[in-house]
Amino acid sequence: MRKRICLAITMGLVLPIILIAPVSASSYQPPHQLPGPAADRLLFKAFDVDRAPLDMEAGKLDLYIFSLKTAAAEKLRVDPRFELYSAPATTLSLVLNPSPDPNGLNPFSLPEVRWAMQYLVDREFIARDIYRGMALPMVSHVSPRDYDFLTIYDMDRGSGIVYDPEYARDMISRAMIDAGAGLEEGIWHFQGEPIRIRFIGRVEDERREIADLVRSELEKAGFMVAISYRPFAAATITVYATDPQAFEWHIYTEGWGRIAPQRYDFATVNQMNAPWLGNMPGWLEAGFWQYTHEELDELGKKLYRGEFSSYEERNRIYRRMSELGLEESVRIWLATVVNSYPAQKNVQGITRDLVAGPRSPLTFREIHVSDAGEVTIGHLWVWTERTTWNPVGGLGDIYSVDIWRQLHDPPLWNHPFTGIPQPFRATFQVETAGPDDTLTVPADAVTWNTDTKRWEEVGTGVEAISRVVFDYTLYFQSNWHHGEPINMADVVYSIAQGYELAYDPDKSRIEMSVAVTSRPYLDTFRGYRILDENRIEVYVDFWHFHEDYIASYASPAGLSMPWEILAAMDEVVFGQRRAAYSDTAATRFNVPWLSLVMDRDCRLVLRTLREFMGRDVIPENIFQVNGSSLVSEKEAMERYQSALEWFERHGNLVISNGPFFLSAYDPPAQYAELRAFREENYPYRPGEWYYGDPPAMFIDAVMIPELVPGEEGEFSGIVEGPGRLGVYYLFVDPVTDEVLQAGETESDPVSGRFQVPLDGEFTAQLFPGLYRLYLVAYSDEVALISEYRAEVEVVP
Amino acid sequence: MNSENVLVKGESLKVYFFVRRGFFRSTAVKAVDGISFQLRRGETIALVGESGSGKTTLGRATLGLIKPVEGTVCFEGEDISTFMDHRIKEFRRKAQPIFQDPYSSINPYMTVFQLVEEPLIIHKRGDRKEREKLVIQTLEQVKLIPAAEFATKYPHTLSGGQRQRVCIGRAIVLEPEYIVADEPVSMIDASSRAEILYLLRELQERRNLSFLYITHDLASARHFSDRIAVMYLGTQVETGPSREVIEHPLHPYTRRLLQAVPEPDPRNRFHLRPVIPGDPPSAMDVPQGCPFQPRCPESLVDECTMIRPPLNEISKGHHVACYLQGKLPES
Amino acid sequence: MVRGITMVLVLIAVQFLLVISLGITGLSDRMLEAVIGEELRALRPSLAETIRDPDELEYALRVRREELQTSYGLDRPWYHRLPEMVSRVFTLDLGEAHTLRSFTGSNRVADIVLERLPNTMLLLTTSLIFTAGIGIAVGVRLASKVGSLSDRIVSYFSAVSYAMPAWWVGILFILLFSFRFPIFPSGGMYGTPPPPAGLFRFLDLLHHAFLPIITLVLASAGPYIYVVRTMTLDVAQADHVTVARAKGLTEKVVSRRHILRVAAPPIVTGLVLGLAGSLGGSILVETVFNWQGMGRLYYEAVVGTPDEMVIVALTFMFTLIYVIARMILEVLYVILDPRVRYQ
Repeated sequence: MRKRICLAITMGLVLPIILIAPVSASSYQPPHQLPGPAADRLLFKAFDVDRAPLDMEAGKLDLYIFSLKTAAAEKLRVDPRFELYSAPATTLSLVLNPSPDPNGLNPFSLPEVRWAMQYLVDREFIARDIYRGMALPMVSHVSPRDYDFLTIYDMDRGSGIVYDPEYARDMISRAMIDAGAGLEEGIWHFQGEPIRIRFIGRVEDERREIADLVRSELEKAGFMVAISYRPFAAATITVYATDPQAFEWHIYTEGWGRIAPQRYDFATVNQMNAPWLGNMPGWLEAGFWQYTHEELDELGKKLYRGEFSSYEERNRIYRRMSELGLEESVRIWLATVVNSYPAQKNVQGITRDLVAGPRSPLTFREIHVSDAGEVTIGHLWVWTERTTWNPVGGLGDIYSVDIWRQLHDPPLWNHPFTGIPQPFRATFQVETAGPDDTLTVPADAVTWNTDTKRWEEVGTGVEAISRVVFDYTLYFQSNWHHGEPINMADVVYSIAQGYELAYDPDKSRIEMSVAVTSRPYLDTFRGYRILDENRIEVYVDFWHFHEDYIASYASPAGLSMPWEILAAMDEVVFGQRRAAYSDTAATRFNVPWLSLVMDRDCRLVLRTLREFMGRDVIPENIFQVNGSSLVSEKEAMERYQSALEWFERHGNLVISNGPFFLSAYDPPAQYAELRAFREENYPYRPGEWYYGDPPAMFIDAVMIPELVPGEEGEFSGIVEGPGRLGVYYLFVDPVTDEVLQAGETESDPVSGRFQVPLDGEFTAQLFPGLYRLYLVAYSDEVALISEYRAEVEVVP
Repeated sequence: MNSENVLVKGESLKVYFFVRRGFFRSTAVKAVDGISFQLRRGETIALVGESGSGKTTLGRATLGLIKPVEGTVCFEGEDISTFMDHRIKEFRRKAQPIFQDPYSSINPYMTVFQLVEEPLIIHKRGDRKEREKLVIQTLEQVKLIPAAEFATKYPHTLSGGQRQRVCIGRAIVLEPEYIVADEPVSMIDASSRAEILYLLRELQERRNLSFLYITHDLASARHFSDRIAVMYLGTQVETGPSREVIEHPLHPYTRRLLQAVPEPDPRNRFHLRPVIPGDPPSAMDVPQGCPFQPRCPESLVDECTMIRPPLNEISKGHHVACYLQGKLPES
Repeated sequence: MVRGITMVLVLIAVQFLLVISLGITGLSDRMLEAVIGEELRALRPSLAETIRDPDELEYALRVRREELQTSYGLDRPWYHRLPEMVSRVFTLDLGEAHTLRSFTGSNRVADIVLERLPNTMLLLTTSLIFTAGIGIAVGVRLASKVGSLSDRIVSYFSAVSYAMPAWWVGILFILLFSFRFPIFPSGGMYGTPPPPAGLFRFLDLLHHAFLPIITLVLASAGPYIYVVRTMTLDVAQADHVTVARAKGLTEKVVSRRHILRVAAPPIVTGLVLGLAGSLGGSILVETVFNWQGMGRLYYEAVVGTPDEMVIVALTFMFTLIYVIARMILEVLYVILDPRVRYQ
C-alpha cells in the first residue's frame, strides 16, 4: 500500500479568524488586582459606521461594537494596526413561493424545481466574493457555527448539494416538461404564455448582488425574471402581506438576525421549516393560501414543547425535521454572514464569544489598553429615541443593552465557547424527576397570591418536575452601587413583582404585553422556599436532558436592581399612572415610557421614594415570608435615602451591582461614561473572567491509504484541541452523493491519535475512483467544529 | 451762423460700445459714428430716426453721461470733458434730461415734492422755506394744479402724463439752459401728448431754453422744432430747417419716413402707404459705404456701396448725405 | 388682511397635500404594518425561550400585534387618523410622537420640537445673516462692475454654488476639515465628554457648528449674490438713476438713495424666499453633521419608523416658519416701500 497524503481543504479556514494562534489565558496580564474591572473608565460614544474606520485610524476609539460594512472590514483586516473580531450575525436565505397557480404554472410549486434551486446557487461565490470571505456557505438552516451542525452534519455535507447549474437545469427541464411546459426560444412557456418569475431583491445590502446572481442563473435556466429591488418596508409588504397565490412574488432574499442561538435549538428549526409557527409562505394570515406539512408540524410541536425523553430522541426529531426541510426546499439557504468589529491592536482583554463576539459582558470587565485606565468604546448610537432604560419593558435595543450589560452581574451566563448556561454570580444545584416523574413540593413552599397580596403556602399535594437551589452568596457578600447590601429581599421583591405583572387583573390590563408574555412562563412555577439567608429553592415544571438548562429556565430573579427602585417604579406606573413600562402602554395612556436615565422620569421615581420616606412606607407584605420579615423599617428608609443620594451624585437611577456604574449619560451628545465599581467585597478581580480566544482545534497528519475493494483499510490521524475530543466521519459516493458510511470515534487522550478501520465487506462495494471523505473534530469544551476534507482513491 | 449764440456743439462725435461675443472676442456697436451739430440758445433741434439710430446715445453724450470714443462736446464753448468739480456741478445744473419712460425715470419711493426738491438740495439753493416755495411754483408752471395736493403724492398714483410733468418740473426747477428731451411723449397716451408738447413749447418761449428733441415721430418734430436732423445708423443723413425738410425731403430715407406718417384724410383709406423695405439695421454690422444703401430703393451700385456720402449743403441750411442728389425727381 | 388669509390657506394646503401623500398612497399604513411585522418576527424567537406552549406563544404574539396596531393608530383608517392629526396640529396641539423621544424622555411632540428648535435656529439664523451680509455686500459691488473680470468669476461661482447640493458640500467639508486636516469635529453638537454647562460648553457648540454653518452659507450665498447683483443691476439701469447722475448727485448718494433703496424690496424678498429653500437643505445638512435639530428630526421621523404625528407636526412647523418669514417680509416691505403704506 502506498501511502498517500492528500491535500486538506479545511472548511474551518473559511473563517481564518477562528483558527489564529491561541492566546492562552496565561499570557494575558491583568493591569492590577483591585476588585472590579480592569479599566477605570469606559467611555461610550457614537460613531457613524462609515466614519468609524477613519475615526479608528485617527485614534478616536479603541473598539467598535457595531459591525463594519464588508468593504471597510476587509480593508482593516489586512491593516496591522488593527485587530478584527467577528461573530456570526445574519443568515441569508431565498424563500420560494410554493403555491400552485390555478391559471398557469408556478415553477416553484414543483418540488423538483425547488430541489434544483439548491444546485443553482453558487454559495461559494457568495461567501468568497460578495462577502469577501466574511460569510460561511450554508446548505441547511443550520450554519457551520451553529451548535446543531454536528447533529445534522451528514445531512448537510452528505447532501451532495454543490453548485451545478447544468445538473439543475436538467432537473428543471424534466420537471417542467412533465408538468406540461415547453421551451420556446429558450424560454419556458405554459399554455402559450411565457412563465414569468417575480424576484424581490432587498436593496440595502449585499443581498442585491445575490439577487442579481440568482436571477442570471434563473434566466439561463429558461425563465423570464422580473426583478424588483425594494427596501425593507416595500419588500416586507409585498412578501409578507400578500397572498402567495396572488403571485406578487415568487422568490425573495431573506435575512435573519441571530438573536440568542440555543445550544439545543427548538425554535429556529420550527421557524424555518414548520408551518405552525407562521413563518412559511401563507404566514398563517386569514384568507391566504397556506403551505402545509403535517409531519413537520407534528414533529415541530413535539420538539418545541420538549416532549422527548432523551438527548437521542431530541436529536432524532431534529434530524427528521431538518431532513424534511431540506427535501421540501421552500427555503434555500445561502450563507451565514459574519459581523466584523475592529479594535486597536493594543486593546487587551477581549473574549471572542462564539455568539456575541467582542460584545460579551466578559469582555468589558477585562478590557484595557496598556496602562491607560480609560477605554473608548464606539457604537452606532449611544441613545436613540427607542432607547429606554427600564428593566421591565425597556432595554430593548442593542444600544442600551450593550451598555446595561456592563452594569449588572447576571446569576447565570452562557459559556462563551460552548454556549451552555453556567453559574456566574449565582451557583445552583439541580434535582429533577423528569421527564416522567415528579417531585413533591413541600407544603411550606410559597407562591405570591395576587388576590390576597401575600405569600401563601402551597399546601400539600403539589407536585413539580424539577427543583433547583440557587445560592447567592457571591451577591450578598457585597453591595449595590449605592452602598446598600444585596440580600434576599431583592430576590423576593423581584419574584413578587413578576407575579403581580402577570396575574394582577389591573396591572395586567395596563401592561398587557408584559403580562401576556410572562404568564405562560410563570404558570410553570410551583413554589419557592427560602432555605437560609443565601439560598432559595425553586420548584418548576420543566425538564431538559441537560440539567444546566433547567437551572437557566428556573432562575427566579435577575437581581439587576435593588427592590426600592423596583417598588418606586411600580408605584409610579400602577399607583400614580404617571409612566409606563412598555412603549405600547405609554402610547395608550399617554404617559412617558419610563427610562431611568431620563431626568424627568427619575424625578417621578424620586418623588415616590420621598413619599415612601415621608410616610414610612414599605411595600406591603412582600417581605413577610413564612412568618418572618425580611426588611425592617430602618433598613428600608436607609435604602430610600441612598437612592436619593445616588441621583444627586450621578443624575440617573441606574443602580446595579456589576463591575461598572453609570456615572454620566448624555443623549444629545451621544455619550455615556461608566466608572469602575471598586468595592472591597466585590467578588471578582481582573483576569478571573478572561477567556480570550477559543482554543484551537484541528485535525492533522491524516493518512489515507489507497483502498482496494474487498480488502481491509484504515485511515488515521491526529486531532488536537481542548477537552475530550471526538472525530466524526462521512464516506461519500461522489456520483450518487450517498453517504456510504458515517460514524464516530474517539481520539486517544494523550497522543490525540484516532483511527477508523474499514472492513472488507464495506470496501467490497466500492468502485475504482475518487471517493470523498469528511472528517469533523469536535470537543466538549468548545462549540466549534473543525473540518477536514479529503479524497480517497480506490484502485482495482 | 452766429457762433456766439451756440450753446451746445458736437464735433465728429463717435460713441462705440464694445459687446462681448463669446469668451474672448468683442465687437464694436457703433452707436454714433461721426456726427457734428450746433445748437443755439433758444433753438430746438429735433433728432429724428428709428430705434437703433443712435439718437438716444447722442443725446446722452451731449449731457456728458456717456463718454465719446472720438470727438468732443462743447458747452458754452468749452469741451465738457475738461470740466472739473464745480464746473461740472454748474454744467449739471444748466443741462438737464427728460426721459421717455415716465415710470422708470422717477424714483418710485419719493414723493412729487421730494423729486422736484432734490435738485435744489443738491445745488444748495435756498433754505427750506424758499425751496418749498420754488417747488410749488414749479409744479404750477407744469400745470400740476392744485400743486400742494400733488406735492404729497407718490408717483404710482399719477397718470403717465402727470408723471412726465413731474419730470419736466424736476428738469426746469434749477432754471437750466439746455434740455435733452428723449422721446418725452412716446409713452404718453395720444390725448395727453399735445398738452405736454405744448407745455414744453411754452416753457421754451418763456425761459429761452434750448432743446434737443429726440423722437421718431416726424409729425411732432415738425411742430415743435426749428431744425430737424435725421439720423440713420449713427450718422446724419439730412439736416435742415423743419419746414424745409418736411416739405422738401431730399434723402430717400427722409422721404420714406414722411410717407410713412399717416395723414388723417379719409381718402387715404384706400391708399396703401409704402413701407421701407428690408430689416431695421443693426449697429453692429454697419455696411461699408452709405449705411442706408441696403434698403435704399434707388441706390446706385458703385458709389453708394463704397464710400460713405458726406453731408453736402444743397440749399440754405439744408444738408444731405446722399449721392443721388440732383438725380431724384421732386416729390 | 388678504395676505393673512392667503398664508393660512398655504398652511392648510400643505397639510392637505401631506395627508394625501401619506394616506392615499397607503404609504403610511404599509410602512407601519411592515414595521410591526418585523418586530413580531424578531419577538418570536426571544419569546420562545420562556413560552414553551405553542398556543400560548401565538396568543402572546397576537396580543402584541394588536397592541402595536392600536399604538400606531392602525386600528383606524388613514382618512380618520391623518385628518385628525392635522386638525390637532392646527389648534397647536402637536400631539405625541410614537417612537421618537426628546432627550429628557418626553414623547410630546411639542417638547421634542422645542428641544430641537434652538439648534436649528442657531444654524439657520447664523447662516442667514452671513448669506445676507455676503450676498448684499458682494452683489452690490458686482452690480457696479458689470462685465468686469471679478463679476464674471463670481457669477460662475454663483452658478456652481447653486448646483452643489448642500449635503454634498457638507460631506466634502467633513472629509477635508475633519479627517484630512483635523481642525473641526466630524459631527455632533458637542464633544465627548461634553464640557459642563457654561462658557466652554457654548464654545464647544460653536466649534461644532462651524462646518454646518459654512456649508449652508456656501450653498445659499452663491445664488443669492447673483440675485442681489441682478436686482441691483436692474434698478441701476433705470432712467431715474441716470437722471440722478445728470443732476450732479455723487455716486454714493445715487447708490444709496436711487439704487439701493429701490432695490431693497426685491433683495429682501430674495432673501426670504431663499430661506424657504434653505429650510429644505438644512434637513440633509443636519443629517450629515448629526446635528440634533428639527431637520434631523424630520429625517428620522420619515426614514425611521414612520412617526406620523411628528411628520404632520413638523410639516406644519416648517410651513409655519415659512409663513412667519413671509409675514416679516410684509412688515419689512411696509418699511422699505413707502408706497405700500398708502394702500
